[in-house]
Formats: sequence, structure tokens, C-alpha cells
Amino acid sequence: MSRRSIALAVVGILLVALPLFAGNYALSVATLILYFAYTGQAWNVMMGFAGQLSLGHALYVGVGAYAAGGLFFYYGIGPWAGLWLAIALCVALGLAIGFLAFRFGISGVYFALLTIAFAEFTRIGFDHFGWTGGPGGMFLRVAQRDTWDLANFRGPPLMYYYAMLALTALAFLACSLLLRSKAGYYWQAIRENEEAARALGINAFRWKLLAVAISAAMTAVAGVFFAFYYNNLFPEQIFNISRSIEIILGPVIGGVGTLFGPVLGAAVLTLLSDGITEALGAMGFDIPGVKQVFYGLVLLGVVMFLPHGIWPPIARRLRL
Amino acid sequence: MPALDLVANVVVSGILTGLVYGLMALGLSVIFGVVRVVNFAHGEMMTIAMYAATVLFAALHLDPFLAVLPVAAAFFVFGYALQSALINPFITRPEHSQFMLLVAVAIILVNAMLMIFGPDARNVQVDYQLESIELGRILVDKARLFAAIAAIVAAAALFAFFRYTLTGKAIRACADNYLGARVVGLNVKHLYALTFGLGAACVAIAGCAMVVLVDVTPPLGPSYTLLAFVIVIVGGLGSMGGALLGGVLIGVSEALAGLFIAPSAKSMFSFGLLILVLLLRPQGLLGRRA
Amino acid sequence: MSVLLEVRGISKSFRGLRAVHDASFDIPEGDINALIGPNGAGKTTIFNMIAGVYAPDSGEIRFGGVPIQGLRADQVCAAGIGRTFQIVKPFAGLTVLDNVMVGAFLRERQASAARALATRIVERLGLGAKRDLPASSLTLPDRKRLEVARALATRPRLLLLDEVMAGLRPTECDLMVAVFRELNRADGTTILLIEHVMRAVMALAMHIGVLHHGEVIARGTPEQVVRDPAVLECYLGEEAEV
Repeated sequence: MSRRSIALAVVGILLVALPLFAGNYALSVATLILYFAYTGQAWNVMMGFAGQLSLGHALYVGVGAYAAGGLFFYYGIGPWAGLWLAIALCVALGLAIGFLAFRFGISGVYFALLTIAFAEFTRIGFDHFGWTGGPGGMFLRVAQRDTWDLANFRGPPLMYYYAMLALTALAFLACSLLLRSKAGYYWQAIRENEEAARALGINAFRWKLLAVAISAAMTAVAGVFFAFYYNNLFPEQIFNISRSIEIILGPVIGGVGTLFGPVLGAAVLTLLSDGITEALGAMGFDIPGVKQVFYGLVLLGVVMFLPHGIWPPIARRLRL
Repeated sequence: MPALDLVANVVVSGILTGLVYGLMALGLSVIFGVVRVVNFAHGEMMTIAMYAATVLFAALHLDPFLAVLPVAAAFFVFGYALQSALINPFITRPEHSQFMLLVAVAIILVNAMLMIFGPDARNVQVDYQLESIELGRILVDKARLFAAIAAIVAAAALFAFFRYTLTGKAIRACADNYLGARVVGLNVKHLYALTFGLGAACVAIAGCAMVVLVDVTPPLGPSYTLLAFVIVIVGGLGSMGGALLGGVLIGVSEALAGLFIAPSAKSMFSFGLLILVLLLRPQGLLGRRA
Repeated sequence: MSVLLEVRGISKSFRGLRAVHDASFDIPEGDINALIGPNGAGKTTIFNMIAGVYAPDSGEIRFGGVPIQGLRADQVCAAGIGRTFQIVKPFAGLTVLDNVMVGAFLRERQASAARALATRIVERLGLGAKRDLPASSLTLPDRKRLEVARALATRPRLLLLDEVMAGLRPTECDLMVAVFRELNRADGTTILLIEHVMRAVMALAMHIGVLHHGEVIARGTPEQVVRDPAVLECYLGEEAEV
């Protein structure tokens, strides 16, 4: 077994066994890390693989959350069915944005601005959209929290932890397979040099759309999780550009385009920021904004000095 | 259907506010047009300028339009330093890398403001805020008029700088042809830093003007950044007239949207416009085809 | 011998500047054909029209009897035309082998089959020892070879080579010539090349077309072309030694 597989197995066992020696608070932090690792991985498919910078990914989280949440709120339809509507809507949305952008040759910074515009447009739209509760938000019923009700996705923090762990593991596996497949090669070719890729028979338009669709679908699932984990949805929060930026922090810090980058980045960021907030709180500083300043500084440092993220140098050191 | 008078007043108000928006966007257009850097921290800089004006007002009772001078000077230095220290070394990096750099700066700035000033709104109270001038059937707020005049004066000064001074022409040369400029011996890095400084100074003036019109809170930062981009893209990248025109257009449409739909929906209109322009005429109204 | 590529009266203008005017030529299957001419004569423009980068303003291009003018670059490649770029465009972040695999995936669905094909081609072009190195670490001659290998992985019937020899030393140039000769002989690959390096042109080409100001001014075997007075006047110089 290669060093990498062994390391992976060790980490996997640790994660599965975590609840045995972690309290509820630690579990919730771990769930958050996994959530960011998962959404980061989903975003990574579009950016790291196909090279399209999306700064409006919160759009898919929000639409996914409201879709499944809305079905549950109004019709009592469980999340497993609501999931499909969420995915369908987000894929349609992603394809629309991708189609418009690629057809009109919008890329780079302009594409990023386009994604921001769509997310902001939707945020304000939902603020005025009565069916989803408008700015006042939508609150999902929480029946009970002690037993595992997988059908309605209700239960103790332990259930959410394992659900998120399973999701992250699946995403990891899927991305790993994709990277080694024709899709992975084609995406990387497009990312490296689109003109050369086209000269090798790659229909860049179609493949970029595929990356966007997969990324949107994966993020939609995160949205459904979000809805049933936090149980209250506010347009101002869920579509906010800060959410979109949070999604990209993990992969950018860990390493865009790599498999382990998003996971590592999410872990480092969440643990450090939590640590700092705790430390400052203990010293008597409870100032809003400290955590984000910290995020900004870390991001700045990584972009300036470790542009490929913190994973590649670590991987080299550990010879993984 | 609101009375024509009301609509006319709203439009005039939109034009005046739009000129201030235009000045802010002008700063961005100049920076992006020359240095080719997407200043994602633009709105945050504007917001800091607004806070600076409130601080100077609270401490020294300095009228924001007078505070323009020290604030613009400080921002010029800050912009120059930012470009020299942070951005110039990374000019050869891929586009999204530079973008991320400024995203990071934006995050730091907006949250630093939150830490220092707290989430509550701050403003400036000057006498002429409550006065207005009658021009026929139109009632014009004095404060808004002053702000617009400040914007026009600053824009004209910038325009003259680029048109008539040697340094201004040198900067335009860099924008047109980076390699060529270096070949003829222009100190491009210095000129880039100068440009960023000028863009920052524009934002400072716009901020001081804006603070007599609206209250300032930290979240204004990101929303002004987006607004600046909408204006620059609608008006046309690289076109100074386009930035002002775009600003006025957005100012008027926001004002009208606020009147006819709902005040909170006005930015939705701006984003819709951005999407349309990106798709149909990416070079904007007055921009050159890339 | 059947005609593989027929170019009939293609023209292209860029904003009023006439780059190519009414160019026509045929390339028989199995031929090695060179397009020469001074800079700005329109050679790369013709290449780009054949390769689908842009469509000709008028005229027709037929490949194996099928019209291909106006098709997208990826469609042209799928039809069987591979090309290299004058300024090489490697996938810098990928290894040499991975670069070639990208090309191989056009004809092979499975990664294992693509890898096998890519490995064979990499060996054939003399890059076997460097196949796991990142493409960004290659020297220029190796990058040119990689460019060719990548295009070959798409199993083209016609290979378009855009100034492949530029920047190569004479020994490297001769090596490349040998590779192309071998390709043509063993696989029957038809080759159309743009070249300034006359050493390579005379060594390789079975037929030459000469372009000047966007028009074809001479066609024929190398011996015929180098004696053509029009060619000598505009390109080779009265006393050219080849």
C-alpha cells in the first residue's frame, strides 16, 4: 500500500472514531469542518478542474436549502425527496449561468463578477419572495433531536456528523475518480490552455458546462444539509457574498485543484479561527469581526507566499 | 402613478448621487484600465474614507468637503503603498491570484472597520444637509448638489491630468502597451503605483462627498465594490466618461426603482443590468472593444 | 493517389486587411507538403482556416471529400486533422505523459488504453525518459516534440506543423526531420508544414507551395520551386543557395 493510502486509511479511521472521544461541541466543530471541506471540494470541481472562478457559490447552497426546506415546510416532504428538486434546480441554474457565460466568451474576472451578480440578484429577490418567508426567514419544524430519524434527517449531532462525513468521503472518492478519468484530463487541459485543448478535439464549451453542472449539483446537496441542520434560512445570510467567500477559503488555502487541499484548508482554517476566537474571548476580547480579519490575513499570506496552497509543500515533506 | 414633479425630483436626485457614484467608479476604472488589477477592495476603501470623514468631523468639526484634502492625500499614499508592496510583485501571477489578493485585503478592511467602529451606523451632521435650493419646480438638496460638484471637479481634474500632463500621458502609455512603455524607459512600477494612488484619492473624495448623503456602516464596503463594478462595466472599462455616465445611469435607475418598486429592490436592478451588459455588450456603453 | 485535402479559393480579411486571397491547392494522401513564404504572407492564416480557428470569408476546404470550412477546431481535430502551434502550448502543470494522454483520449475511452497509446507515442518521439516530468521543465526542442506527440495521439490523417523547426539547432532539426519522415513512411500520415528553415523544407517536402501577400504564387516540387523566378524574387533572393 502506498504511503498515501495508509495515511488516508489512518485519517479515515480517526474520523469515524472521533465521536468516541469528542463531546458535542467538538463534534459540531468537526461537522462544520467537514461541511466546508465538502462545499470546498464541490467548488473545486469548477475552479480547480475546469478553471472557472465562481464567487457566487452560495447561490447553490441557498437554492438547494430553500428548495428542500420549502417542500418540507409546506408539504412535509422529507429531505430525501427534496434533494432531487434541489439538485435539479441548481443544475439548471448552473447550466444557465455557464451557458450564458461561455457562449458569450465571458471568463476570468468577468465570469467571477457574473456569478456574484447572480447570487446577489437572488439574495435580494428572495428577500422579496413571500413564498419562502421573505427577509424574515423560513423556519423548519424540529420534531425531536434524540433519536435518529433518517427519513426526515432529524437527530442528535452525532447523526449529522456521520452524514457529513459520509458526504465528504463520497465527494472525495468521486473527485478522485473524476481526476483520473477522461473528464479529469480534459478539464485540466482546458484549465491549462483552452486553445491547445480545442486543437486536441476537446469541445471546451460542453466540458466546462459539465464541470459547472456537477459543481452545482454537489453544492445543492450541501444546501439541503444546511437546511435540515440549522433549520432556519434567511436570504441575507445564506446567499451572502461572505458565504461564497467562506466556501472558497478552504480550497484556496489548502490548494486549488488538489484532492486534499479543500479538506486540509477547511480543517486548518476552522480550527485556527475557533482557537483564536476562544483565546481572545478568554482574554476578554469579544469583538465581532476578529475571526474574519484572521481569515483575511491567512488568505493574504497564502496567496502571497504559498500560491499553490499549503497542501503541496506538506505533501512533499511527508512524502505522500 | 406618482406626480411628474416627484419623478423629476427623484431623477435629479439620482443624477446628483450618480455623479458621486461615478467618481468612485472612475477610481476603479482608472486602476483597472491601467494596472489591470481588479480592485475588489474598492468599496471598502470608499467606506473607510467615509469613516475617516466622520472621525475628522467628530474630532475637529471639519466639514467633509474640507476633509477631502487630508483624506485624499492619505489615500493617495495608501494606494501607492498598496500597489508597490502588495500588487506590483505579483503582476506576473495569474489573474485570479491577484483577484484573491484583493479579496483578502477587502475582507481585512471591512472587518477591521467592524472591529474599530462597530456595526452601528455613523454619520455627519452639517447644517446644509437640511437645506435645499429651488430650481423651478425641482427641489435640490444643497448637500447633494455640493457632493455632485465635488465629484465633477475631481473628475475634471483627473481628466486634465491624463490629457495634459506628461506623467498622465506616460500612464496612458503604460495602459496601452506595457512592454512598449518599458522599452522606452518608463518606470512602469512607479507609474502603476501612482495610478493606484490616484484611484484611491478619487475614492477618498467620493467617500467624503457620500458621507453627507448616507450613513456609513461596514457592510457598505462590499456593496459599494459591487456597485463600482456594475458602473464600470456598464459604462465601459477604460473609459472615464463611461464611468461617470454609468454612475449617473445607475444613480437614476436606483432612484426610480426605489420610487416605483421598493427601496430595497434597487440594487437588484443594478445587478440585472450588469448581467445584461456582460452578456450583450461586455465592452460597456462607451468602452473600447478589447 | 487520392487527394486528401482540397483547398479551393479561400480568402480571409481582418478588418479590411487582406490576409489571404483566393488560395487554392491540393494535398494528395501520403504527401509531405510545405508552405513557404515571407512573414505576413498568410501561411498561419491558411493553417488556422484549415484547423478551424476561424472560417474563411469565402472558398471551400474539403478533407477526404467532406467540406470542413467553418467547423470548430475540436470538430476538425475529430475529423482527423492534428496541428501544432507556432508558439508551443504545453499543458504546463501536467506531466509529459499526461499531456499526450489528453490527445489520446480523443480515440480511446479508457484511461488505461489512452495511457498505453500515449506511452508508445512518447517513446517514439524520444521523450520516454522524461515522461513523468512536468511539461514546464522541458527544453524548447523537447517541448516541440511534446507538441507533435500530443497531436499524434489524436491519430490524425493529416498533420499540420506550424514552424516546428524554429529555434532548433541543425542537429535537433535533423532529428525532427527524421521523425516526420518515419511517420510519413510507416503510418502514411500526410503532413503539411509551414517552415522558414529551408534546410528542413528541402529535406522533407515532396511538394512546396509559395505564398506571397496572401496569394499562392508557385506550386511544385522543390526543384521546380527554387528555380521559379517569381519565388526567387520575392523570397529566396536571386542568389539563394539551398
